[in-house]
Amino acid sequence: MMLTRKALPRRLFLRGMGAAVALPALDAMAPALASSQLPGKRPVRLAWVYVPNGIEMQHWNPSYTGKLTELPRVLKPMQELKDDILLLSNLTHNNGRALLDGAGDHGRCCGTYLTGVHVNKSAVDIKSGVSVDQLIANQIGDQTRFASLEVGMEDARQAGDCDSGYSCAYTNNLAWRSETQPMPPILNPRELFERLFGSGPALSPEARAQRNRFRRSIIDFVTEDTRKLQAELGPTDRRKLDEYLSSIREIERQIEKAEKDNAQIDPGMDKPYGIPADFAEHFRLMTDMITVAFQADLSRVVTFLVTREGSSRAYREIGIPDGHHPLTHHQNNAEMREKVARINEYHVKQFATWVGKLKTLKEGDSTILNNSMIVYGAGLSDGNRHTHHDLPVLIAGRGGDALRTGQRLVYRKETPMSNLWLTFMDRMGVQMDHFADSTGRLEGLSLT
Amino acid sequence: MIDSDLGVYSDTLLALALAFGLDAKNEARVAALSVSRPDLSAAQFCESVRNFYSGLRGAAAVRMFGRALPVGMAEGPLVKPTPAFESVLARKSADGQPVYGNNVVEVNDTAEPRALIRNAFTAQHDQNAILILAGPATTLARMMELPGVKQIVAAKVRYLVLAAGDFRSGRLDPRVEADPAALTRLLELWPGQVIAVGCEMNESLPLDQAALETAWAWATEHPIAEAWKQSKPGEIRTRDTVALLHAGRRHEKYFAESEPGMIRVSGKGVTEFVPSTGGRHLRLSADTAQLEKARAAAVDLIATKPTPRGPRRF
Repeated sequence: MMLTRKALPRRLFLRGMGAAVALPALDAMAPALASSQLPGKRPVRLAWVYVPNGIEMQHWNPSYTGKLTELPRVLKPMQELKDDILLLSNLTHNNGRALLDGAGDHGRCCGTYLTGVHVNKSAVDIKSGVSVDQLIANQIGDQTRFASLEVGMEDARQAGDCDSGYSCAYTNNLAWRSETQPMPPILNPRELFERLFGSGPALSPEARAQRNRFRRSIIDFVTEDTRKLQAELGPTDRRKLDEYLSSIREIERQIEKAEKDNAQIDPGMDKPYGIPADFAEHFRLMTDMITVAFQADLSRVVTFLVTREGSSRAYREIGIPDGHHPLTHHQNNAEMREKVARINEYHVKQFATWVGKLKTLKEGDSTILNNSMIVYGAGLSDGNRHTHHDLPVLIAGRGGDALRTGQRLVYRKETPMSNLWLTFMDRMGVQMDHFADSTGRLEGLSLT
Repeated sequence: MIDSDLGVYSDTLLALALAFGLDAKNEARVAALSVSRPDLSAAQFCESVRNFYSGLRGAAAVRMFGRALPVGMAEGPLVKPTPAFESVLARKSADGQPVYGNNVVEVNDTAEPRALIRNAFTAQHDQNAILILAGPATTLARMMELPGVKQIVAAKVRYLVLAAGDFRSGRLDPRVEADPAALTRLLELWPGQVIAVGCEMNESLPLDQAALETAWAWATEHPIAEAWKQSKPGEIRTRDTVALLHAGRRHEKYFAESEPGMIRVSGKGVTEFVPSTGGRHLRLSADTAQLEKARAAAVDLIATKPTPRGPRRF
């Protein structure tokens, strides 16, 4: 067999009837001499998964430092993945503190989380800073179809007072394009799906309506292209493509099922079309789409605001009818603390399922997880006392063999969280001397 | 905010007590403490002192003060513990618990000092903070080089009291000799007023050891009194005590301030005060007319009982 240097274009799409489906990274896209035995440079993905209202830290911080062994209760769902994660302690967002502005820790902590700045206390005159994800997206975003993706599961209101004089823009957004321009998350799975896989302006409204009327999978519209491509691929890539297209079909099916289920719910409820009622299902749908976005290199920078900061969502799925936020102001009531711990555990369980899936998805001689850095954390540590130090930080993935995972690192107290974001920017090729209130980079993370 | 080489001179212990005396009398708040030596025992001692002045004891103080800013400590290989601090911290009550509890077990239980002091400034009203340096300038010079700090200092800090330098001709202060470049840099970057208290002030406020012990007679437990006695002070040097007294009660004019000038630092660490119109530096000297008043004030503040008060929340 003669090897040639001709490879499939990286930006190849399967097309048909106005649909365009991006492809995952296939070996056939590398130069012909590359094989699965040779290490290939895969893009590094960065994601933040943010949970509100702090965490029961006594069940989050291990009692030891160094190599991870037995994980504490809230992190137990990550036990099988302990070698793929990093736990960092003592990172602080000083600018999330009151600093003479009085009440409003929820508004501040979320507004500060990725910007590092002390946001302006106002319900109308919003002012934050450019968030770290956007700084990275500005640098590498031209390499993907979407510079960044902003995803959420609850309440994308941008106006109004959501916390003691702080605008809802602060509690309901993680990403900020500029100091006055938040980037609202997409909440509806169908909207996210169509953003990622829709046909764009080429499809006329009539054609789009016809496609929707037939309720066929987007995959069905690219059958001819798929068949042609499969004939050109090796067995590994054929299998990878099959898995990928199956994932998309499954996501579509889940969205349709969720919409059908919602249609049976009393229409008197103001339930958005396409948003599953079940938390775990909604979480899974969103992360499945993030996964596909990573596979197809549609974006390398994602923020996921699981629920808005200060969320009072109940978790009836796990038998908790009380609002999350009120529970976290437990004043040391044992029963309330127990419920908060269960909510924290439930969140981590969903995250663990997603991370576990990323670990199974191969990319050359590596996996998508290995080529990612996914931060799971919160803008507050103790939700009862509204503390902004020792913030919970878990990093899943090695950032392309850059991070030394499987350990807990404890930094000096008051070490700025901005130091971590600066370190991430280094990894993603963004050259900055400092970021917000950073004092330097974090030591001990890197393999090099 | 106080950054000091606590553990080197017994005088610094008295200065610390004086600072908390001002706090107990509501004349000031000790907002941040940092140790400019990598001495874990000194950091532990500082935190124990802070807990002591809260009026709480043992585990209750430790729990309460888990919310306050931690104590800062300079980076570097740890030095040997200060014997007086080790001894005080080792004291146990009848139930076997430490008499002077603290949260510092290892280096990461202390704060990175540049971030600590900067963060403490950010929580102050404008022109409401005073910074006292009683040690080498290494930490503060590095802090001043952080982006944005100069602006924060200009807004928040009234003045820097510099318990460093020796302004007698040709004399060297070990605090400056340890890092002369840092002091030069700090003075270059500092945007506001600097009040220098040189080694020559060590003899300016004679404190009687017996008088101090009498003033402390109420205290069956007092970490500073115990550490001070164990450090065998002998002749009491008071430069740091003078610095804290002037920092907190400048309006009382216990000491004389010079005309404006500039502090110069030679490469070897010799400091010189040069009068200069428009200079932002002042130099402190003794005022014999105020001596008795100053001495009484110092003893009173040093021996002030703790006023129970919760931690200030940022």
